[in-house]
This record gives sequence, structure tokens and C-alpha cells, in this order.
Amino acid sequence: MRSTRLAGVVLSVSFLCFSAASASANCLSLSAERKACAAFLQNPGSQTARTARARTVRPQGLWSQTVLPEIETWMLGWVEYNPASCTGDSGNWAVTTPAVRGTTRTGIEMLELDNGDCVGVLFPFNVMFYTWTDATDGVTSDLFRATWSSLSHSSAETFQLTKAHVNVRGFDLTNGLVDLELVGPSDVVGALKATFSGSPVDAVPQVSQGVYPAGVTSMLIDRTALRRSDYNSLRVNWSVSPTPPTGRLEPVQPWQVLGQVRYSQYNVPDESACTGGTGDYYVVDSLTACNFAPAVLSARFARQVNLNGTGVSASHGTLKSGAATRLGSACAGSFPPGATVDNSFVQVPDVRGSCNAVLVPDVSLAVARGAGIACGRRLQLVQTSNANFGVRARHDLCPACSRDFGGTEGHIDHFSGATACSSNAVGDLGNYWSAQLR
Amino acid sequence: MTQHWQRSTHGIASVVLATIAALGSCMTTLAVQAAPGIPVVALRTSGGLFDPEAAALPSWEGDGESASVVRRDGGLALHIEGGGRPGLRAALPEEMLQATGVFRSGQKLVVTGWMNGALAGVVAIVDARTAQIVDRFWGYAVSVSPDAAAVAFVRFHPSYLVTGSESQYRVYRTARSPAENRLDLPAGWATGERHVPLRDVGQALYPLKRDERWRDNVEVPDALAHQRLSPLSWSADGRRLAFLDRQGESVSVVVAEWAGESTADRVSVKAAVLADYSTLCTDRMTTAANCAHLPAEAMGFEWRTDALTVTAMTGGGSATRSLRVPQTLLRPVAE
Repeated sequence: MRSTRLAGVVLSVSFLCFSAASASANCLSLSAERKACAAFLQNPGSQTARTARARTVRPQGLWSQTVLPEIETWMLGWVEYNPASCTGDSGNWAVTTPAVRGTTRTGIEMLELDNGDCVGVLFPFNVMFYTWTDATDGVTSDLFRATWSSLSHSSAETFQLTKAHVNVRGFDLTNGLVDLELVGPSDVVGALKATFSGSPVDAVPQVSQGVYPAGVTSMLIDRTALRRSDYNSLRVNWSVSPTPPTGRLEPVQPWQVLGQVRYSQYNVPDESACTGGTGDYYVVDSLTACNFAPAVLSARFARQVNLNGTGVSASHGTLKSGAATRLGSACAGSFPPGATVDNSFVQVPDVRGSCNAVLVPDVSLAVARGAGIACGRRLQLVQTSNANFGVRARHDLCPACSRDFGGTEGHIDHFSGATACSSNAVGDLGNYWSAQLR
Repeated sequence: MTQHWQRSTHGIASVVLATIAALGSCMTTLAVQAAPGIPVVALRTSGGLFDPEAAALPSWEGDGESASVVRRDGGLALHIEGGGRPGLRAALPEEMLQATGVFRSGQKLVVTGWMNGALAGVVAIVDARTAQIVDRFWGYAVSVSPDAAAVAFVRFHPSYLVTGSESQYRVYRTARSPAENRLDLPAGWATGERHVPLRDVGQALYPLKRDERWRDNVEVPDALAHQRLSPLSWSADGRRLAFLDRQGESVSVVVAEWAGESTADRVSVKAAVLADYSTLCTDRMTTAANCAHLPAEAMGFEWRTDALTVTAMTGGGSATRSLRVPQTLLRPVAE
């Protein structure tokens, strides 16, 4: 038992790990000879400074308190005393509605009055304690009722308990911030630990740099530490007690993290950038009219268009490889002698990918079929520093991008606006951590 | 009696290795990584990447002769030595930016390579005596048989900017002439005197129905389009070829079998729908479409007298799963 004096009042408290506290008490006159006082501790979660204050005694009270799990918390203490003789009666507590999520206990705590009566005399307050013990996730409230009775007085009390917890309100892949509400005593602080769970892998937990008090806040996640997986749960622990308050968020759709992805690049071959000789080819105006016109094109350009699918010619506008269209069947009866699907190119108004969307340089992406990235889906690209590189969108298909990862966890082709004859002249964009945005 | 595909002799790891090895000699370093429990990054080797500047140059050697890919004049060339002749050099096709393998079948050398980051393949057939390129063609998932007498591939379509691409499986016979490998062109199509077709090559394997052999391989509705889910994997004797194909939500294992070169056209193609294919996938990949996440390299086949076993690594290489397909389930594919 330790005693300390604070603001002229002496309190002696010894329970759990709390070092000391001071108390005051407002008291109720029961008769000329009898008074009753109640005392409670404010900010019971603090492990460093717990200031007890008096309550204004009422016949019945409703007490709301946020408690830390597995930590015994002072709820309320009562004593009846004779101001003339300075003798006290601790009375008795009777629990009328038991707690569901925790346990209660009573105990005698010696406290000095702060109303001027019996200065220097310690009175035996009968204190109700509560400990939250239920480990069930998501359950954060409890209630119990108890009545304190002494020789001359009775007071029915209702205790509403809120377990300290974390509301994980969202995770924004575009900035790596977890939106949090930390519900707990106002004078505690603790570090945060975020754990993503998913399939096929869970992520290594991340711990915040600083400590956080109760309230609305956000935690920065190093996105680049999240490996390729579909994460369907985020759990955040708030380290303010040996059993940290926690919260979990399970999004309707998992966070689809692609991890480190190699971004190679492709382009629309530009005939003006092609060197070498020319060849004789055919340009077809449309798959409905099927008019074949002889055309002289750069042979290297023609080959690159056949390889990549579409190119920009010097004299015939944007051309699509015949093999990238239904030219063979749509114009089956219209091929002039010498014309084949391989040496004929169809004029098109714009450059469209497999999603039938106009490709946007330095925005559009081509992904492997079956990669689980739908047409139009946006991807957040992030540098190794966790800073954003940019947002891109899937507009095309890359048949072989399920391989060739280059030491990363995936391969996506990035549509470059560079003017070049071949994609090989464009080079890779680089490796970036990526995730799908919704 | 057990016959393993490729050079596999023991266990699952070897099976996976065998299929990987079929992709090119540069990828055999993956052998030690086929065991379960190896982190996903261990699957990556520079030899398997599209990296024209840094990639290793493949070669072939045997019977006192050798053929090596070398860099020459900003491109690739094949240097042939031995046989008591002076060294010869053949410029490889300009579009071959990275060579992946050199093979020999009789007097012909087969050089495989990639043209872009989408791994569009190009195959050059070189006369070993004259160093002349006698044929070349494009395709995906190029797989050379153990004796290099045949090259299986997926019919080429442009790598990007196409809608509804489909996997159409074909085989090229090395011993045959370019014209003989293009006999199957549909009636009415010009063969092109000035332009040897690079795309419409070889014998159709699957889909095999006559009206499907030369159907467009682009702009095919998703529900109808065949999609390759595995490498094209040869048996050690080169008489069988196995692969996985998906059409819509239906995944099939397809086995093509030849009686021999003399009857090369008489291919017998059988297929079995794998109703429980999802057992090869990670837990969340419950549909065939999701199963397409399986890395193509991480799949192998093992043939036994009574069944074909398909093996896949899942979970980023952390687990190996197998699916046994009784031979009785394999049904001839109707023409």
C-alpha cells in the first residue's frame, strides 16, 4: 500500500500495477450524524497518473466507462461515516445484473475525505472493480448493475462498459493510409500494428513509427511490403495494454495486390521511325467494303505491325494487321492475287486494345488473360520508396505476360507513346509495386 | 510400366523440371527449384526472361559439330562448325531479338527465339550444310520435340491490340519443306508468292474440327475461345504431346499421339474434360478462369499406363498439387 498527498488530499490505493492516485469525495448528508460519500477514479486506463475525483452523490447513477481488456478498472467506491466520531461503514455491494463480458470484484480502499470532515482520517471505501475478460472479436460493450447498501443508505448503480477497440474504417491503396478510430481512455497512447491476411499469403505485420492516442487518426502502410496476394482482412492492434485493443476490416472485395511487377513496354510502330527497305503490301479500307489497294510500306514497319497489331503509317493513317482482324473471313472473296492476311493491313480510325478502348499513351496497360484484371480496371503503381508512380488502366491483352517476370511477381506491358519502329526500341518502364483499384 | 514425359525419372519435382526444360535449354537451371517450399522468387532466373541484351546465347553440339547463336551486326546469327567444313554463318531473322534454343534434326537446325516482351516466338529452320534459312514462322509457346523432328506451337496472332485471341494448337514438321508445312491452308486463300506466310503454318492439332482449323484466332468470343493453360509438353519419345486447354469454364487435358514420322499426318488427338481441375489451383482459384493464374512454367505431365498425372505448383511455388486423369477418360476428339 502506498500513500501520497495531492491537492491536500491523501489517497491510499494499492491494486494492480497502478502506482498512486488521489481522491476527493462529495458527500451526501443522510442525517445529522450520518453522511455518505462516493468516490471514483477518472481516467482509469492510465498507468501513470490516475486522478480520483468526487462525484455528486445521486440516489442512482449511470456510469459509462471505457476499459482496457484484461485490466482491472475501478468503477465506484462508497463509504458512510459519522462526521463527529470520524468512523466509517463500508457497507456492501450486491450485484443485481451480472456483467456478461467480464468479472466484478469488490474491495476496501482507504481514502481521505476532501470535504473538510475528519481531516487526516482514512475511511474504508467499498469499491466495485471490473475486468473485461471476453476475447470475442467485435464485442465492445457490456453492462452490469449493482447496489451499494449501508446502515442508512442504498444506491443502485448501472455500469456501462466499452472495451477499448479499434475501428478500422478503411484502407486507401492510393495513398497507403489506414483510416482508424481508436476508442479508449483519453490518456493512453500506443503503437499500431497492422496485419493484412490473404490468399495465397499473409503479409508481414507492419508497426507504426510513433504512438497514437485515442481518436480518429490514420496509419501509413508501406505498400511495397505487401506481396502478391488477395488480402481479405486487415487487423490493427493498438498497443496500450498487454492485451492490445484490436479492430478488423474485411472489405467486400479483397485488396488485390499484384506485388512487384515488371512493366515492359510496347508501342504502336511508327513508320516514320523505321529504317530499311520497302515492300509491296495491301491496304484495306474496311472489313465491310473490303477494297484492297496496293501500298508501299517500310518492310520493317509492316513486320512490326504484324507483330504488335497496329501501327501508324506515313501515308495511310493508322493500320491494323490483317491478322489482328477478321480480314480472312470477312473479306474472303475479295483478296486480289498475291494478297494475304499477312501482307494486308486494315485502316482503322484509332488505336484500340483488346478491351475495345482507345489506347492512351502512358496510361494503358496490356495484361495476361486470366490475370484477374478486368478491362478498365485501374492499377496503382508505387515506387520502392512507397511514393506513388501513377495510375494506369487495363485496356489491352498481353498473351504471354503470365511469364517473364524478371525477378518480380508479375509482368504487365505498358503502352508507350514513344515514336519508335519497335517496342524493343522503347525499353522497359521499370519495376513497380502494383495493386488494383476499385 | 511407367513412361515419364520428357526426361523425368523420379517424382514430382522431376516432372515439373521436364516441362520446364522443354521450353529451352536456357531454362534448365530451374531444376533445383521444383521442390515444394521454395519461395516464389526462386523460380525466376535470368535465362527465362525476355532480355535481349543480357540473355545467354544458346547452342547445340553433337557428332563433332556445333551450332551457336552469336551476336552479329546488331542482330543474331547462327555460327555452324564441324563436319570438316569451314565455319558457316547464317543471319537469323531480324525479328528474333532473343534466342532461346538450338536443336538439330537430320540436316536441319531449329533455332527458337522471342520477338518481344509478350514472348511471341519465332522459329528459324536452318540448313546445317549451307547455313541457309530455309523457313521461318511465328507462334506462341513454341515447344521442340526431343528429337527436334517436330515443333509444337500456338498459332500466331499479333501480340497486342487484338480482341478475343484464341489458342490454336499446331505442329510443324522439321523434315518437310516450307510448302509441305503449309499444305493445310484453307481453299481459296492466297499462299502469297511474295510473302511466305509466317502465321498460317503447320498441321492443326486442336481444335480439330475441319471447320475450325483455320478459323480466325482473334475476335473470338470469350466463351468460345480456347486458351492455353500449360506448356506444350512432349513425351520423351516425341510421339505424344500433352497440354491443358480451357474453353469457357471447361478445362481439358489434350493428348496428341503420332504413330511415327511416316504417318505424321495421322495424329490421334484425345481429350478429357477435367471437372476437378480446380484442385490444382490455390484455394481461392475456384474457377477455370482463375486457374489461369497458374504460371505456365509450373506445370508438368507424367504418363503412366493407366493414367496421366498433371502436376502444378501453386501458391507461388509453396505447394505442389497433382491431378490424376485415368486414361479411360481420354476420348478421341471428333473431326
